[in-house]
Amino acid sequence: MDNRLHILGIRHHGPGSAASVEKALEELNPDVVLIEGPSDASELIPFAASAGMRPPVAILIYPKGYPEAARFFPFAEFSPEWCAMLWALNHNKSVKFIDLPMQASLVDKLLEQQAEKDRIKDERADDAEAFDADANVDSDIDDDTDSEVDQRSLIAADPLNEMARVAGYSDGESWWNSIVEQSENSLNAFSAIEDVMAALRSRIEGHRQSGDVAKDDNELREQQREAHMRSHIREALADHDGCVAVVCGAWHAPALSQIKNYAVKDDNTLLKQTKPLVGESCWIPWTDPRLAVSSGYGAGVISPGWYRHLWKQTHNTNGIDFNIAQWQSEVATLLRNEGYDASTASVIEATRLCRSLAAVRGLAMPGLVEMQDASLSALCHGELAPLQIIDKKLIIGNTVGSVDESVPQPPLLTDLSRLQKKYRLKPEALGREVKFDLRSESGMAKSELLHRLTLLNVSWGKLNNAEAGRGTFREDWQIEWQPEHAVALAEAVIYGPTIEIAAASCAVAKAQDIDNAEQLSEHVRLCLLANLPQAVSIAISRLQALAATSVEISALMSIVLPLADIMRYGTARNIPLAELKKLTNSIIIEVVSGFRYACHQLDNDASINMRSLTRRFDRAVSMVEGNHLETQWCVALEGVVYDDRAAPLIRGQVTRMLHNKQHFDLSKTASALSLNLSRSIPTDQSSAWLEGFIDQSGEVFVHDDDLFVLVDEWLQSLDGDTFIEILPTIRRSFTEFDAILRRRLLQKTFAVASQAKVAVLDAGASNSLTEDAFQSMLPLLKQLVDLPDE
Amino acid sequence: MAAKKSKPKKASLNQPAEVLYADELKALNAVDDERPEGWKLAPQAVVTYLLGGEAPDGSAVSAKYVGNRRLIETAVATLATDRALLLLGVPGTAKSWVSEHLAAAISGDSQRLIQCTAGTDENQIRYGWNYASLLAKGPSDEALVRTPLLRAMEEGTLVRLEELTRMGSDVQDTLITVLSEKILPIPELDKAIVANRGFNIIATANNRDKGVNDLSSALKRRFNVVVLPLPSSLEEEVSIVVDRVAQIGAGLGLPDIEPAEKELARIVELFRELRDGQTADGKIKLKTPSGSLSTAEAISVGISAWAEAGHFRSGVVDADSLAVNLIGAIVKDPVQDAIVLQEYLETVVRPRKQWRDLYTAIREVM
Repeated sequence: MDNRLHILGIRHHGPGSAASVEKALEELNPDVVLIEGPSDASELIPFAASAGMRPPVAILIYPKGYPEAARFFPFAEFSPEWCAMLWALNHNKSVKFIDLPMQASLVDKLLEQQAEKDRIKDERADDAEAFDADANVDSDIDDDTDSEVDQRSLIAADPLNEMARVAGYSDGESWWNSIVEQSENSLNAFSAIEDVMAALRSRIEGHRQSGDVAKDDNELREQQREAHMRSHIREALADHDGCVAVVCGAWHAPALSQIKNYAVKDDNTLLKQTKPLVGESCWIPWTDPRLAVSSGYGAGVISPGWYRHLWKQTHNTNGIDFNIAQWQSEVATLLRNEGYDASTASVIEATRLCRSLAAVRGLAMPGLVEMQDASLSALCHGELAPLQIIDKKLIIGNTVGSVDESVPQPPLLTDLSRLQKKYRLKPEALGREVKFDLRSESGMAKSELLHRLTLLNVSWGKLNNAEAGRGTFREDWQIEWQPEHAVALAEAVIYGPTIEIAAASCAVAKAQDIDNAEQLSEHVRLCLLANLPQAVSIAISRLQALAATSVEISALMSIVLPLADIMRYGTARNIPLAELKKLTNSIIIEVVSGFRYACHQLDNDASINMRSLTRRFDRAVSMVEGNHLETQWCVALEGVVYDDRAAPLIRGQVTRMLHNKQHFDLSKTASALSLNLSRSIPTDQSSAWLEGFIDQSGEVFVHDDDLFVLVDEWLQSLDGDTFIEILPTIRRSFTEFDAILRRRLLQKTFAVASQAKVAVLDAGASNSLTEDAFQSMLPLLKQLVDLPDE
Repeated sequence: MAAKKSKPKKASLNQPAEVLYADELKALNAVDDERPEGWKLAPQAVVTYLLGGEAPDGSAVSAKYVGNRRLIETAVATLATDRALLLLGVPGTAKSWVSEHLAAAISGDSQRLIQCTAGTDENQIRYGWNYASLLAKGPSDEALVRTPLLRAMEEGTLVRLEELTRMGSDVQDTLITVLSEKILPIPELDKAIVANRGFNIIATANNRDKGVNDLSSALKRRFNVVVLPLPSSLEEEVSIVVDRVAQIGAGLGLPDIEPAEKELARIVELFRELRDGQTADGKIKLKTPSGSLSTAEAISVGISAWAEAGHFRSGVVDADSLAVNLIGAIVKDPVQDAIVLQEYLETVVRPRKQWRDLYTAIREVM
């Protein structure tokens, strides 16, 4: 081994490794620092030292034109790579990423996956089933992976964790600490780790020689990566006289340090097979929760919060007790914020317990497990629930990094951070609720921003509709920042350089794409909310064109209500009322003229659907100003009442609507009622008609005397046989009401009946006979309205 | 209430832990290592004593508690500070068992015990008076009747409080000064007993039973709480039951019988299913009986089945010897629980071919 070459094999995101790297670099004072990272992103390194860079941040790198294939390389302040970068920049040393650049295979894989997804979607579209294509693609990939390879790559991703597990430590960090403590200086620790890794690698892979053929794609890629890193190391050794320090995952350390064992020729052969791609890269803010999942290197941190704590501890000298107390009081603060009692005395007890737990378990430093056990016992009275509530904030953390203003960023991201600052909307990793008052200018602007982002597929905010329904000038949003949003913004850059422009042109593009009336009206609503007038007018005119050519009356009916809603409630916003009104009117006219035919030949389900559509459409018509529309609507409805081909359910409903609108007087309604419930009509039709007529509103029967008398008189007018024949129909209609309502109806019937009885008595009929007749009628009546005997 | 030190002439029904496991304790004590003042064993040795393992001299140490190691470590670590330990859990989760063994291992004496009940008053916690002496001579040290708590403070040992929440909250509060300041004032004598090092309290309490008092919040803050769970898996619970039945049965001198692991496993499975309200495969929903059907109850069913088999039957624990005992354990409420058992028999036991004998046996008795 070249004695100028020093390989620092680390744990990705390991605070212990980071501290060791810092120390080692101080000792070595190398001329050049090489870091395992995509070599095509090397020019981004200098920005790391800018004043405004606050980790967690990540390097986003994607093939030009394919932002969907983006890969991320996240760094926390406790990542050894980050520390190495900062050290080199602060000491004016040259620093470079040496891993393989972006590969063409990435794009191939992406296109393949998309094709697969499309294929699945097409297949499933016929079944019209809800289906999650993404989940399926993922599971397919999982199935393909060989379990042996899986285990190998698992170990390769965090070999130190694996070693720690074998050695009986709870995680890689504690094992690292013990190694560092046992070694005299950090350089010795690194060479010890390299030895361990060399042994581990030879165990797992057998004695693989340089130039051997790789077994599969994964292994080939691994070999290419190491060859690439080696070639950079050779270059650096040739260019510089001083030390060369390489910071890489511990797994790779043996393959890089024994550089003489690998022939330059073999490495070049390997590298010839790679297909580098022109990539675009930039710094983006990252979040704690995203650090916690594996990405990029395939190395995730289970607990960013804990690692941050450990990292802080490597830089203070206050002793173990202080460290424990700091963590426990953090726990107590979070507990207090959630409304639990957590006294200072309990923090002291938790600290003492933690200390003594570590002693019982024979550890020099308490780990996260000891901290948790102590908090559970001393701060939470043994109850898991409070700990679970604060778990996310404590263990994962809520930090969102930020990137310095001077650092070139995708233009939309820059614009967004400008707007975020302007409106004081901080991106937070864990969800938060915000309320906007739309009457104020800033509230409106914030709402517009979130709506525009939604249009751009950046779902930073989710509108809580339930809350929004309460008032027209208030909006409640749930905002939660995900690093993917940066990718979505990078993708959206094709639409324009600022959020406003991009959203506008994206909305216009969408408006021209959508062919479905319902989706289009939803799009109109979104564009209105996002205040994109140009897109709105395009969408409206498209909608008008669609409405004119569309034969689907039901589709048109469904879009009128949202439009009417906007016109009525959208006053808080600046909207093109005239245009909207014109559109709504034209759709209403379209529906009114086609309504009668739309009611023809409907089966059971379709007529139930039509019933709710009619109800909604009717509401919309009454909301829109203009009497002539309403009159025309009534005329159309009347046409349906007497149209035998229209579905009976709708005819009943329409009769009732006309009765309610007082378009039909009592006699007209009564004749329609007896007509449609005549003996000659098949029972299923008459019962459907009655169901439509009652219209799920039995309450009205109790209160509307006219309606009650109408039905009552009709029933009384029936002779015995007819009554018995029609009985099932009536019973079916009334079973829809709940028991209380049926009881009240019965009481009402009794009241009316007893009046009748008095009348009969007055007429001088035989007393006992009437009384008996009435009593004998009661059980039947009860059965009729489906009430149990008392 | 105070432990009797004199050795009984007749064989006792149950030996205290420190007598039963004297050899193990001695083996673990052989090491010369750091230990808190007043402790008979080092904390690590206490953990080994409870969870089993190997003593420094190579002899085996049996496991007293089968379950989460972290819980026992937390308990021992708590006692190693001067914080009192509260073991919480549903009935039959080995709270008293753990507390007895902790006391035996740490203080070498598990008999310093106060059984808390609704009738326990302050005099039984703090100290009482020998009234003859009190009337004759007035308050004096000789007239003082010491409680286990007071003795433990003076001698620097552990004291166990069983079922802490069964005594009234006002009586519970007597402990506050003892717990936080480790002193017990005796105003009549114008002095206070200051606890010696090694003194501490292990309390146990039930967190599900009805008819218990709440733990006063002032007291709660002065305890570190360890919640002992029900065994998480069938295998774990079966191994607990098998071990304990063997120990208790041997202690009682029950006649030798054929090993009954299979039958014991059946009891445990049955208990777990009824307790969880669903079958082990999670396919059938069941009614749950009014009793808690804890591990401890499964053990007692095993013991009585053993006794029955040994004395009255062929010496094999079979479905017949189980049946009566099972019914006794499950049917606590003659109406409700009978329905529960009936349903379980018909929907679960009957379709299981290997359980056919159990079905017939229980049916015969019911």
